[in-house]
Amino acid sequence: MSDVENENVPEGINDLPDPDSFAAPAGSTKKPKKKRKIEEPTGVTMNSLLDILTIILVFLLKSYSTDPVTLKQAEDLKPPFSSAQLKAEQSTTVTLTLNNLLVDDKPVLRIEEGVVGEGDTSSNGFLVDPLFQALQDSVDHQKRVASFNSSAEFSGVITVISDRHVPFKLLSQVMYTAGQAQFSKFKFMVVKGG
Amino acid sequence: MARKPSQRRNFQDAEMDLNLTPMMNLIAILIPALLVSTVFVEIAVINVSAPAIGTAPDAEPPKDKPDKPPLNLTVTITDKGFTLAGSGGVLDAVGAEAGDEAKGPTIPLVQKQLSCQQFLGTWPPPRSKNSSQAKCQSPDDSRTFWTYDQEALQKKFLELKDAFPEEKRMIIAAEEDIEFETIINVMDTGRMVKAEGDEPRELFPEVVLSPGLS
Repeated sequence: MSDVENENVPEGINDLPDPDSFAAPAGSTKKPKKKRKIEEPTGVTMNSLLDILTIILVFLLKSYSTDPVTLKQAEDLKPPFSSAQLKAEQSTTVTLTLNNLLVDDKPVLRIEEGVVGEGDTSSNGFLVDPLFQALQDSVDHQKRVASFNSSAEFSGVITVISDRHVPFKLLSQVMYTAGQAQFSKFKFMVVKGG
Repeated sequence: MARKPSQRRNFQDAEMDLNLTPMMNLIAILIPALLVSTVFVEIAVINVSAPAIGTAPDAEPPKDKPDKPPLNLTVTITDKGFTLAGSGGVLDAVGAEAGDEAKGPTIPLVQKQLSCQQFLGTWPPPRSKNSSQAKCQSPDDSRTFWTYDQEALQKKFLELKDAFPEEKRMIIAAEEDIEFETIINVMDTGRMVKAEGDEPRELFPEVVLSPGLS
């Protein structure tokens, strides 16, 4: 503090007793006792949060599906309910919705309301050409693998994942096409319960 | 009074918290990863075979007893109901008088109170028959619809199974616009019957889907 400022301070203000001296008895030279601090817990307690997360983790791990064929969530793909209990197995999949045909989750053909366009079919409208091509590729691939690995034989199994509203016409076209591509065992995917 | 150095207590009682940050990081990553890969619907499959077109690679040789011809049970689904046929001919309609002129389906559609739960935004199958009504809007809605008579079908299947206990095969054919759901329902009805308190009884679990009926 400079002297200039001190001139503005009213006289006598420094004569007031030192505030510290209130705490200690007059004349005492002892330093005022330090206030004991209550130890505040630092940070947020996360124990309960961790409990919740652990429970969620266990639940998710438990419901973690190891099925070889999984169902992709889509607005236009709702397989029907059924009381079937057989487990899915690893195979080529063909997915039918009212708007798309997919082989092994790769889109193959767009269709309109479950009807394949005239230009995409042959053999009296039963063979869906783009689908046949895709299935043929899949069979070739599996046979190539089988030629190197005897435990991965081509079994002719195909899993059909179909929306519940798919008309029988499309289904039979797909089955015929798959049959032409040497698939002979069909597995229709359904949702358990019902 | 100064203490001996050995008695100085210049350390605090160690009340150290575990460092949970890495653990939290781990969980924060694991939970979204598991959530994404978790499927909440349980899936199953139904084995279906196609009729042998041309040369089927593994067509089973027929090993029927010569004294009993195979049943060749065929269920044809139309938008009027189910028509059951065997190698002996088409089964007549349930309850129809012998010699009836109009041969309808074996099990015609019935009108039944149905919950809208499964059919939001649409009608229960067969839709061509129900489309004159308003669509299902609320899940609590329950109205009278035309529907396939699964109970009668099951009864018929049981009769047939009693008559042909060896048979396991069922051929399903359908009209072009019959929906997949309906076909699956017929397969369900034909696979197994479970009366209360009874052992589940297998009916015709081997399904052959025959393409085309036109």
